[in-house]
Amino acid sequence: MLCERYIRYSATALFWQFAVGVWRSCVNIVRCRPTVVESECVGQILTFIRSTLPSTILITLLYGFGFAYYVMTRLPSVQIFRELALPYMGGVFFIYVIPAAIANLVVIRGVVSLTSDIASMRASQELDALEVARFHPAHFVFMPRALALMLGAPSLFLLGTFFTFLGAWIACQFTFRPGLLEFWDVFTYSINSWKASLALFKVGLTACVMSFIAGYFGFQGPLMRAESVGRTTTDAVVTATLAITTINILVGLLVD
Amino acid sequence: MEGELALRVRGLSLQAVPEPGRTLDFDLRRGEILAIMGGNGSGKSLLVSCLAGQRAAPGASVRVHGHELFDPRTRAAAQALLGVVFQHPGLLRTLPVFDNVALPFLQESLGLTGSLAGLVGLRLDMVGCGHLASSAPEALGEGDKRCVALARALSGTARVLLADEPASALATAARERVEELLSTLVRRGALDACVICTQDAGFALRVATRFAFLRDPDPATGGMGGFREERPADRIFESPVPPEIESFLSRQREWNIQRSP
Repeated sequence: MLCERYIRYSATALFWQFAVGVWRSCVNIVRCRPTVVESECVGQILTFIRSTLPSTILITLLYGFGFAYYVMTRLPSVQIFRELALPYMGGVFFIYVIPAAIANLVVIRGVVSLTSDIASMRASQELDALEVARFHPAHFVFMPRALALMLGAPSLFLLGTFFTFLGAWIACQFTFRPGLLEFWDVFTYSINSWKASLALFKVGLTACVMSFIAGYFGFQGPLMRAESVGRTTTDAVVTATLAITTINILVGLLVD
Repeated sequence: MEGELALRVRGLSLQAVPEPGRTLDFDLRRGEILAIMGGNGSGKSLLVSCLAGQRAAPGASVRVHGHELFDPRTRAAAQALLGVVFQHPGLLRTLPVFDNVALPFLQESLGLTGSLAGLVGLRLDMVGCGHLASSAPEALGEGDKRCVALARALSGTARVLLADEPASALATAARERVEELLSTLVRRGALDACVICTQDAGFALRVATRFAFLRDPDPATGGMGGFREERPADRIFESPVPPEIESFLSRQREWNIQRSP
């Protein structure tokens, strides 16, 4: 009986059901006949953005401000900071700092909530009720939450970039008071289309892997009891954290 | 006589490996309400999951109005005729109560209008939860959740109801309403038959037309399943009275003695 669940919600089956779910939803939207699944998708995307927006803004603003202030105060002169450090700061943030910050947010908010949602829905027999109503739980429960992560993470990344820039600009107001547009030109000097695509790819890939890890653990966790929800969620977070590190290393090697 | 059969169960084992004497075989005809009773760990909830097709049951056959549940070709037809109330209410947390009850119809649409919406509203009224239609499930008490779960089980095209402890956590008035509702639905033919797994002898005695008692689990092997005995309701008090019923009756007697002046 356990074996049946393993086959039904294996990583391959989950991926396949996700693809089928997305395809069906696209067809329903194109036909202007949305169902409760599409409504659930919209709801989950809004919930994800609403719950991660304040922390994204705060964290990236602080990163930008703190990092710029730190470097500025440790260099011999503001002139050196302006001409040597600042032009490369945007690139460092864009490629390394913000994707890592967003990945952490995605893990904290996305993986934890996705895994615990699915596991607790198993414990409370919501998934059984869905199956009896002939809904595939992967379509109704997993797909909307995974989509929210996959669409939400790149959006948060772009937003985070802007707020990092804003944080660094605020830090510079204490010294040489640059204009906003002038600062933007210098800050984004080392960001080109290749780096932008790479960073977006990294964030998208991370969100994708995170959502499948979360879904897999949620559906495959041990016995459907409330006390197993915490254990399952912890396992998912540990695996997701390892996956983030691996993705960073692999993408880094690929680029080099 | 196959046409009169609402549910036919053969060789259903609650264990991964079927064991002789531990399989379940029973028929349920139109108009019958079968109460399946048993102690803790005897497999009542597992039985409901198996009958609902949620668990694989190797070598078993469950036919709902002739449609085999474990045959992929007829599974959907069989499931469409089943309404299930699980041990936990299982209301979807992201949908309001109305949409939870309308769930069987929401595969193809975003909301219900016209007669279907009326049907869902009627089901909610029948269980006394019409005023909760727009509430979120998390705002409901446990008893209300169970009533809504019953309304959902009745809202689709279900002809056979499987219910796992449908009266637990219900207040007296709600409990009486559910007892009356189930009896009336089966008597008037709105439901063909009902399987109720319960430990509540009082509820079973008021509702059931047949009783079956699950064997206790084997303490050595953990094996479960198999009926210890089956009886129609009109022979339930014949000696020897099943211990589950006897225990309930003795409590009632004690209560009556304490109340008498």
